[in-house]
Amino acid sequence: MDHKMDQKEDEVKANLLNQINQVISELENENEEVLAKQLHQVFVKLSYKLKVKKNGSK
Amino acid sequence: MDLNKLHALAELADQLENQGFIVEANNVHNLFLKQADQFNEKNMVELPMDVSDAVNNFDSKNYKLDPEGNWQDLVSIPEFIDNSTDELTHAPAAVDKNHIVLENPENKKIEVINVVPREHWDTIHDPKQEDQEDGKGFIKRALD
Repeated sequence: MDHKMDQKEDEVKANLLNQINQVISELENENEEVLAKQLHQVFVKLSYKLKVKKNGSK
Repeated sequence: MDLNKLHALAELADQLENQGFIVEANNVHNLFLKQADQFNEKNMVELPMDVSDAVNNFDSKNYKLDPEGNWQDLVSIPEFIDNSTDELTHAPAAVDKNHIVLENPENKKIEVINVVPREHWDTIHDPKQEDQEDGKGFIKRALD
């Protein structure tokens, strides 16, 4: 049961990161480099936070 | 920056907030605000009059309104004014040759009313006759 919940939570987080990545790609394609970089920082911080949270919860 | 990117940022901020990532949601929201400001500078349309002034730009003998924007059920200008609330008649608006743009006071959304000149009244779609096989349902003839 816990395993299933963890799996679902992981999926949600992965989707969130994918979504940010997708927006970054679109911005880069349209030469919105400043905004893409700012969003990339959000992506990096969030990935780090999720990684720490996951490792911490094990 | 187009509207789709603004929607994408807004949606992202919402999802981050829903997942409890408040700091990141705020960061994305701030990016959204900066971009929205720039978008407004380039794309904002002034609404310099109210709806009653806007409809008065058109002669009621030669123009009818399509308030639902679906090219059916035209209403005359006096009928539209009679059926409108005070709030609606005083809502901010702008006109061009065949449209009235207004901010709907009920939901604060921008809406467009088609202004249909007499020569196009007979091209209005009549849903009551839509099922007829002869296809007449798609054309409502104006009364001569």
